[in-house]
Amino acid sequence: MTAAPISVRELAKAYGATAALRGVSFDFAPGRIHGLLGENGAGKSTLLRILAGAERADKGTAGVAPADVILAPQHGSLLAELTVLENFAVARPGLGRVAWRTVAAQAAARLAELGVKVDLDAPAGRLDPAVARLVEYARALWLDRPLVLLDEPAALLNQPQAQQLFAALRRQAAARGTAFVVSSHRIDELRAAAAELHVLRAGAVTLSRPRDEASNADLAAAMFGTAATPPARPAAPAPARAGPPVLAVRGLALAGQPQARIDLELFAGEAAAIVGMAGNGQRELMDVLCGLAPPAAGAVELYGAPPPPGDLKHHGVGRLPSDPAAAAAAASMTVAENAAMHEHVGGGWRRGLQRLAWRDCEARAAALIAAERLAIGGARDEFGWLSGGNQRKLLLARECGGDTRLLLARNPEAGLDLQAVAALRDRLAAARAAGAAVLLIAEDLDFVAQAADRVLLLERGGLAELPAANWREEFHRRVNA
Amino acid sequence: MSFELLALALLGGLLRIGPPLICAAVGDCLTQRAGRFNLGLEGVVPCTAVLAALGGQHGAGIGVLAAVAGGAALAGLHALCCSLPRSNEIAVGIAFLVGGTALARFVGDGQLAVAHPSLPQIDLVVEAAGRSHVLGLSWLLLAALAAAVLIHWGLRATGAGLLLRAAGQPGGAAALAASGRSQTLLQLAATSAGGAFAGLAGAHLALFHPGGWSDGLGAGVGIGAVTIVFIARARPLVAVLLAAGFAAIVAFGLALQVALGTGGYHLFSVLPFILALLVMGTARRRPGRA
Repeated sequence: MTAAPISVRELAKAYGATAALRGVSFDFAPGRIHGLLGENGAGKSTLLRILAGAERADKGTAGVAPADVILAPQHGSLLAELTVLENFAVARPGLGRVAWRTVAAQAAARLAELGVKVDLDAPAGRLDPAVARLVEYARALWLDRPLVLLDEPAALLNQPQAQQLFAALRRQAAARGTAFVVSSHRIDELRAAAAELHVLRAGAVTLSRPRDEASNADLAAAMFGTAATPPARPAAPAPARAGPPVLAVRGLALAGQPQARIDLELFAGEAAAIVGMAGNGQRELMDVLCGLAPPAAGAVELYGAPPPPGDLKHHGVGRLPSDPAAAAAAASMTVAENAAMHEHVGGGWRRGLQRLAWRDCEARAAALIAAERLAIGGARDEFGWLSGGNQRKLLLARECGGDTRLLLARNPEAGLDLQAVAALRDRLAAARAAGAAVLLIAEDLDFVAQAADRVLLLERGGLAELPAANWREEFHRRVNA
Repeated sequence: MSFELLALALLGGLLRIGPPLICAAVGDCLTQRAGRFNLGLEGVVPCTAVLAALGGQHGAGIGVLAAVAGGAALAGLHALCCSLPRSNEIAVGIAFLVGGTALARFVGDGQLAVAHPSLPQIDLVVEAAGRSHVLGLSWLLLAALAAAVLIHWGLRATGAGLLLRAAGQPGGAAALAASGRSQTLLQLAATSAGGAFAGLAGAHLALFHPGGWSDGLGAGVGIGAVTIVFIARARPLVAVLLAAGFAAIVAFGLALQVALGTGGYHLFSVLPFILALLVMGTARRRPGRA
């Protein structure tokens, strides 16, 4: 285990006018977990993609052959139409007969190590996002290459899942001398898991030290510059209920969970968070609430009536699905086009035939970019060029903006750095103060504490309200029971 | 006209019309699984029929080899054109369709008025209406059926099959690159293999009794195969069944024409395409399952 470190030297990369990396150098020693910290858009994903050979650097050397690297990207890379097992097999080169039993046994062992219970013959496209991510990490461990890159692995995982993952990484690093590079925007997450910490800011390395030689203050300063980290604070209590509920769910049954029923009333100014282990119906519930799938039974009411047809945004409903980059945006269209999406989609043919005032749309998008302080080239950049965090910020601004009366969001904080999370919290608070109702389906309990005044537990397709005073204790008691 | 004779005409028509369609469809399953849609097959089949007729003058085996190699080369060229930046596979496919048909007619009409040996066949003797009738069963058909079973198995059980299926999926290019494979090369190989099977179809048209080149030979085989494979969602065994059904419908139309002397049998050959439209209109994409 005395192998030489992987030396990354002077890597530079630009997208259009935006410099993603400005000549970065690292040494990744084998047998260790390296934490890669940075704000949204600091260049973390670009660096990882270049190391994996998925993208070519403008300058510099990666110091490792792509064949020795495996990257688990932020948005996942499982092939939706192949089964879990086939997704394992397809990653190992070989044209002959596949030793299915061997692969299945090894895959099952790796999945068990990460605490994933999943049907190996299920199509990967049907998995819950968090489960799919864990399958991807189990596969990365199984592939056993010298350098393994995990981009924002904890973003969709809950705490026990993340801890189990990092324990497995440490075991593999010790046993096989693997170098892991794990990116995140959360200091606490990586401080617990990584032996060495590296910080990127605006495409440049600002810190690279063993964990014990870097204080949280050092790391925050390296990540954010001089800007202070905003403190966490609990969500404001809800105002008194008046009028009909903004959102009412009555006797709703989700696909695959025919026995359980969900009842929920959400009033103006309230923020409710639905928590629970991923895979308990979160995705199905979100699909039904967003009007993407019909309920198996029961009904959803908006403002005391059945949901109107057409684009719900025109009726004051903002939606942010779990993977907004895939489900709420068009990657090859520009930032301005995506920001104006609700203006040119839906609303009937009469509206569709109207001429769009593109100059206004672009001006509004530019104002949005400035208001959100997005470090991107401009309104005419392709949406797909943006980092995952910037994509989320932009879509959130689009869905929250204007006369939103109800915001539905699944894991809106995933992939956002601390300052962006604080901005998100403030944005939700402002929307509530203006009379909007907020429904979060979230996994990050710290964020839930900051953003919601009601917490409900989703378990096996059924919903139960947790006591407001001690919901965290109650959550852990029920989930671990 | 007895029912027996009608059935005999149907069977005879099926054995004549079915094999080219089945050969081409089995190969196109590989192409479509890899995510390519080769409309050019309609032009490739007549070209390979001409090659088979030319090669067949030196022996039936040489004719088959020439058709298979030519089909693979033409389809490979299609795949190469498709992999160029800013290329469009529908446009390339239509170019091959029109160009291939014209080329086959030009060479075929100019060069091929000569008789040549036919492929050996298995004779099926059928008793009908008090007389014995001999129906020829093509070895090429048996080869295509065996290949269908092999491909059905290979797509599920082998690494090559898995890679091929991966190549035909959204995100497949990146996933393949991560395991050191090239989607472009896989699609090239799969499209060429599809062309080789189209060559079998052409060889059957040109070398199987009555054989020889005639104007319009192979028309509709390529486009029919592509349609069938689309309906079958590129599953080879389903494609074989559908191709046989397609051929049966056309043969039935021909048999009716023989029996009743009525026109309009062309309408029967339109049925499969109407079916394809219905499938496209009603099918929902389901993930998973090989």
